[in-house]
Amino acid sequence: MNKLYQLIIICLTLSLTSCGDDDASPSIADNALSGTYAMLTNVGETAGVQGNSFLQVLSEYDSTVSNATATENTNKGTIETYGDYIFFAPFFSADVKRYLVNEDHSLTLDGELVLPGVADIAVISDTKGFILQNAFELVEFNPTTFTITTTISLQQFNDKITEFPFSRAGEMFIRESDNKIFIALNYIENMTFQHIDDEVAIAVVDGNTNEVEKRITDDRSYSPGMLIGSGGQGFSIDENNDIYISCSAGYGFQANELKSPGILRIKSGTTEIDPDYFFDLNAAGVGSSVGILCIGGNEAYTFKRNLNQINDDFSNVTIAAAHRPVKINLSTKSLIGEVSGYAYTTFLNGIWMKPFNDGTKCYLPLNSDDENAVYELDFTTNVATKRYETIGAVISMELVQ
Amino acid sequence: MPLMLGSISTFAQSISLKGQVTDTTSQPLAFALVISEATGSYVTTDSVGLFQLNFKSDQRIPLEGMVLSVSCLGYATQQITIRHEHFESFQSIKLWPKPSILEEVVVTAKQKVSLLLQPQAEAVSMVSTEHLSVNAANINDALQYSSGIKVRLGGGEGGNNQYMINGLSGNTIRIYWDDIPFEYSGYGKMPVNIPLGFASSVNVYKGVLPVRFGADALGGVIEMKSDNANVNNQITYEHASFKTHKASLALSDSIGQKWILGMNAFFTSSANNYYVGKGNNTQVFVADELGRKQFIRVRNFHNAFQTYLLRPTLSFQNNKIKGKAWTSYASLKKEIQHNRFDPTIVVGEAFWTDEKWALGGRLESGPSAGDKFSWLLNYSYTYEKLHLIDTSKKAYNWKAALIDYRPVGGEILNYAARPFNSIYYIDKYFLNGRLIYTINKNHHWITSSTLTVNRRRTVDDFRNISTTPSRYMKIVAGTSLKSKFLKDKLQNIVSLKYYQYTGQIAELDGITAEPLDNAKIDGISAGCSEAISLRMSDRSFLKASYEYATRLPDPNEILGNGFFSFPTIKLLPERSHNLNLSLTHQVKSWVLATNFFYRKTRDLIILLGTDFRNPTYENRSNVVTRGIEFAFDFRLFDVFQTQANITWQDLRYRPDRSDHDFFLYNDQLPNTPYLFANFSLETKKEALFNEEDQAALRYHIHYTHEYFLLWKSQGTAGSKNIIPEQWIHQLNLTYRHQNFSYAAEAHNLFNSYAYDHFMTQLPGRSFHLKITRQLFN
Repeated sequence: MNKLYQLIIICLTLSLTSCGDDDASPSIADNALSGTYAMLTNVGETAGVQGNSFLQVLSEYDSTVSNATATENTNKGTIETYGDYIFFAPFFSADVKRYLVNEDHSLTLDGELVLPGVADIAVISDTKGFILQNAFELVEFNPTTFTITTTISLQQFNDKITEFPFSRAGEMFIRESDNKIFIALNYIENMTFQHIDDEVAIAVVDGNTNEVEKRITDDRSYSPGMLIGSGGQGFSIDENNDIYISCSAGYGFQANELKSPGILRIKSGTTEIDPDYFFDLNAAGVGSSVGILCIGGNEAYTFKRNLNQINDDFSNVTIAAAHRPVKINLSTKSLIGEVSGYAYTTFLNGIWMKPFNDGTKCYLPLNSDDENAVYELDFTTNVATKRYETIGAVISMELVQ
Repeated sequence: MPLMLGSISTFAQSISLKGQVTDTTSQPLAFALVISEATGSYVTTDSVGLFQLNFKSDQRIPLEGMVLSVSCLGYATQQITIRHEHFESFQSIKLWPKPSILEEVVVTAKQKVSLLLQPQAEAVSMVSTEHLSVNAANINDALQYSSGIKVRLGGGEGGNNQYMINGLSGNTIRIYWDDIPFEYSGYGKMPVNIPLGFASSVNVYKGVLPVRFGADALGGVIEMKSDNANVNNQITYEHASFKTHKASLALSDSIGQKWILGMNAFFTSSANNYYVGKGNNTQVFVADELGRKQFIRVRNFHNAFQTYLLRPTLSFQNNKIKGKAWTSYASLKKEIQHNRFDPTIVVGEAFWTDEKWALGGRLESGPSAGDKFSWLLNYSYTYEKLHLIDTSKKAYNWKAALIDYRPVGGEILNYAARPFNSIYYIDKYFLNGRLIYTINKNHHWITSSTLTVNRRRTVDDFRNISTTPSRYMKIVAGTSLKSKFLKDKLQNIVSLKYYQYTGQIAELDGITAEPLDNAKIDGISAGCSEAISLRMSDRSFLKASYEYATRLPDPNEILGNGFFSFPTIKLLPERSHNLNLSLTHQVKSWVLATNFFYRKTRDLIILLGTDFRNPTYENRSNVVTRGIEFAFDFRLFDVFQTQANITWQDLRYRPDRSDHDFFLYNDQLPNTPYLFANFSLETKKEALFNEEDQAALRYHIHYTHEYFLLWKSQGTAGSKNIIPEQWIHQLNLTYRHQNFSYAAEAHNLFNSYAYDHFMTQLPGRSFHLKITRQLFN
């Protein structure tokens, strides 16, 4: 009996000691979200109601995922997961939200920042994250306290603006090895979204010192990255730490025929666009496309715009232009082939590809009038398989692995 | 007008009141309606104008006498008091022609009898405007307290209002002023700005719409009329909270035997700076020094509103023809405080203005034009200049502090960076003709045709816009047969309608900036309706009506409004099946009315942001609505006149199986109130301080049950955006003495948090003082 008491005391002591250790070094990165999926779906724009979005965390899914256990938001946006938190950045309203994920995967609103016009959000560490405002400000925030640390002005890049056209900082990509932040700059005519600039422009910011370093340009294509942030989907980094940048040359509408859509590269350790590398997508027979995901072995996926699907009744190109993924070779600058088992998705609700940890597959959305679903793309077979259907278009998704 | 709250008597035995109704030339008037205000009893005159109104021995009549209300097609309603000693006498009642002779026989809202007692076959509600004309009230107040009607408010003076009738709202509801669609009537931009003193009655048609309107409404018509000369001479001034000043003038006077000169004018100015935020408002906040959200309570700082109108009229009549001509100028300026759909987007400098020049008139057959045929012609032309200015690069927060400079102007769409300096020049033409043929005393045939033409062009500093005007034309024609059977106990109206529209869009496509020249639009549709009313007894009506209705796209929907919607040539007309079934029953001083309604609508036209650069109206929603409303009028302790009503409506979204949002099938329509109620208590006292004065105290309560901003089926209960339950109290005190009326009022008495459209907060408690001077009486 005494041994039993001794054992109990030892266990209690160990457990308390363990708790004490946790308290001594709290990190919001120690998360309970492992193996889950944070998903943001869009529902609405019917019956006179503006579109709204629903955020939920799933560890399992059925053939159809509903929004029954999702948290309602009134805007579309993008999400970022970190630790036990999901950060929701709405594209047009003025509040960035932090949700705490509970053990039952329900969400509790746990802080809001007033930041209008958010385009993208990324978290680097417990104490450092960045929010990109499309009106040319980069805001550093503390993910743990969820407060703004400082604001970095990008106004110097507004020099190409006249009264009518405007600039849009739509997407940022953070290179983790040196915390360099690359921000896609787009100079656009604001009603038609036609680009007024005929070159690629990217701002470079040092995420350690918050110093705005420079603007790098390249005139072989234009419109880099994504117009609205979607988890860095216009940039992708390969196993050599080289960054590849998707340049759509017009986002699937108002394409400028004078220049080709293409892929540019920033070599590892540098902050310049590699002058010796340009993947001309037109020459490769791919044509206009958006997004890029490097999968290793000099291969990547991009969403090719389907020219047969983009004309409406008046021969106008629509923003709902249809896209489907294709596999490309970044080294030989050639098309490997189209993905099978996948129809077309629209640009409007976001295009993204989220890789698994094992590097053999990725998730991607299919949002169309026919279905809203999440597909799994096998890199080896080049076949996409529907994993589950969703209630509403999947705007953004984060896999926590 | 005598108030019948004094001593009461009963007849010693059953008695009949007999008489004849004639016009001023002593010609008998058939089908005139004679109503006893005290008992609610009524009768219509026969073919030679004779009537006999029977009273039972237990019916109570004030000793001062009985007030009879007598109305007839084309004649001004008369109210006469018949003293006890004259009950045995034969009553000769003369009615004077009024400008319109083609009105249906309706009970005017001036009457003291319950407004629930409506003999027409259509589902129509009469809305009382009598006391409201001297109150600090507008058409919204008049409608808000009626059953089955919900006014969706946009926030203070000049806000965007919508009217919901039996579940349908927005453009599916048409508003008419003196038989002309409001936007063509020369009364300015918004009905809510019109002083109620200009209107003699407000009628709300639910479901079946009389052919005479020539309307393509889907869910109902709100009809405001100003033909009653009794209210046409007054001057008013109102001062209210939030730096609000209102003044109005209504004049009409005869010039000789045949001419009447009139003038309507009003002016409204308001800072509209009521408090918003805190409580359960999650839309009003600022950032603290660390960027965290702080909810605050502040005054609106950029919400001012001014409008004014001048509208002279000239009327004439002889025995064969009557006519009216009018012209008007209306001006409006409204500051914008926040994005309409998202109050978190604060606006500090943008505003819009609207100017309208209009002229129009009506011609109609005179009283001696013939026994069988009568006709009417309404026409108008309006020139409108609509201007939106949203160019500021400054970004404000809810404390009116300048917090940022945007790289490009445009506050309303926030950092979407879309500046506007858009001017729309719009020409509007309206023409309506009607013909009534009296087949015999029991059957009338009416036909009506309406033509509207809309022509517009746009100028915008920030966009290249085609200078070629777009045009859009609609034709709505209809014919109906109105019959009476079973000694007038059964009234039946059967109608057929025809709709056609055509147009050409010359403006630019929002995406390609390519002109949509020669993009033609056209379509036709048809509709039909049947309405039947059965008078089961002197105190009970049973009504049933059905209409297959069409609403053609509005010019704004086809051509875009120039600001937030763009042209589209894809729109189809909306269509609906409308069914109403109502029962009205009176028991002594109690009147109970019930109305069941069912609507099945297809292809509702709604503005979508599917393409956020190029929002256009689309046919998207199929909605099924069921509902029931109850209304009570009763006297309480012979001191209080009490009215109560409650409306429940269930609107269900029914997308087609092929629609991408089929998963929302049968979901409750979001952002739509489904349960609301009103309660009013009124007491009056005559001869309070002297023999000629009168005081009245009224208390209103308006209740709205909480409802979801977004889809009910989506999201967890705890995360839903909810428009909270609301109780709005209002206290009115009016005092009349000779030609003056004084009103002192408190609206939203308990300063409750009130919301409506897209969670836009409505004003809190406000105080109003109004003085009305009757002229030339």
